[in-house]
Amino acid sequence: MQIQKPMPVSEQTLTEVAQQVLEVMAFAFVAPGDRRGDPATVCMHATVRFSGPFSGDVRLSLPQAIVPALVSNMLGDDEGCIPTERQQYDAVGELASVMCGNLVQILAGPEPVFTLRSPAVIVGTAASVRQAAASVTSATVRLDESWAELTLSLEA
Amino acid sequence: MALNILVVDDSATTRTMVARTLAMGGVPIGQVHQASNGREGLDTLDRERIDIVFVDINMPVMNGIEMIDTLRQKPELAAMPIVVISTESSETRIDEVRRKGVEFIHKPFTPERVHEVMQSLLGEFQHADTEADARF
Repeated sequence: MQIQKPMPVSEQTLTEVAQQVLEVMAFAFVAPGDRRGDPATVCMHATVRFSGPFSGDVRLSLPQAIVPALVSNMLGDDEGCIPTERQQYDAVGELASVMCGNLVQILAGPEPVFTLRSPAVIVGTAASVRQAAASVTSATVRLDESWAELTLSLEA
Repeated sequence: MALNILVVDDSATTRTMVARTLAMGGVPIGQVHQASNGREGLDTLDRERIDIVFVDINMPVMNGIEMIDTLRQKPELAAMPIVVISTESSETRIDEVRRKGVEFIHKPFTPERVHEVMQSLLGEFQHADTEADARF
């Protein structure tokens, strides 16, 4: 397979993808922003690995405290109904998967085909996820009273 | 006529979102069956009477394209209306999918887009019914 270099990725591109997906799928109020919580905040991190003309992964990090409300919005559950842990893992993984699919095509152009793996979801502090990739770009959006972070790692 | 639907996606969240969107669309929906991969989807099609299939592409065990290809080889299912709902954005892959005679909805999807596709498929059902009536 011919190795293709992706278009340069900007924080704005990541912001736009995160914003669109969170607004459409989770009916969240999202705005560009750089407000981050305490690095010790416990988050859900969903990582989706992709391969194609270039490879890497996309990671969505959300403070764990806001995940139940987001997932309730996605599932259309009545207020006060807390999603199960399994539903929360699945929903955050699906958000990351949709963001990944949209993002790689923006970077590659309309033609190339990519394969996306199933999302891997873990819970931990922001400091617990490390990047070893050659190129890493992150963007943070304001999400209601909290935040979300989308990170793209490209392999050399 | 209430339509029986099969939703095939490895995300339970997406299956629920699709089912909920269909229920709000004004189209009479009968039973909504769910499967988490193409293999389970084919098993459901063998057991149940299904009118429309909604299927993702990227799934473990058997992906959506493999499922559609297998399904199209079965005479009794070859004309099954299929809607692919996927995060896939490659025009190459989307063209490949459309050549199999399926509708395509991109994730993230809006309820309006799902309803638009359902209305289109419903029109085809009504057209087929009218043609069948005209033959008698």
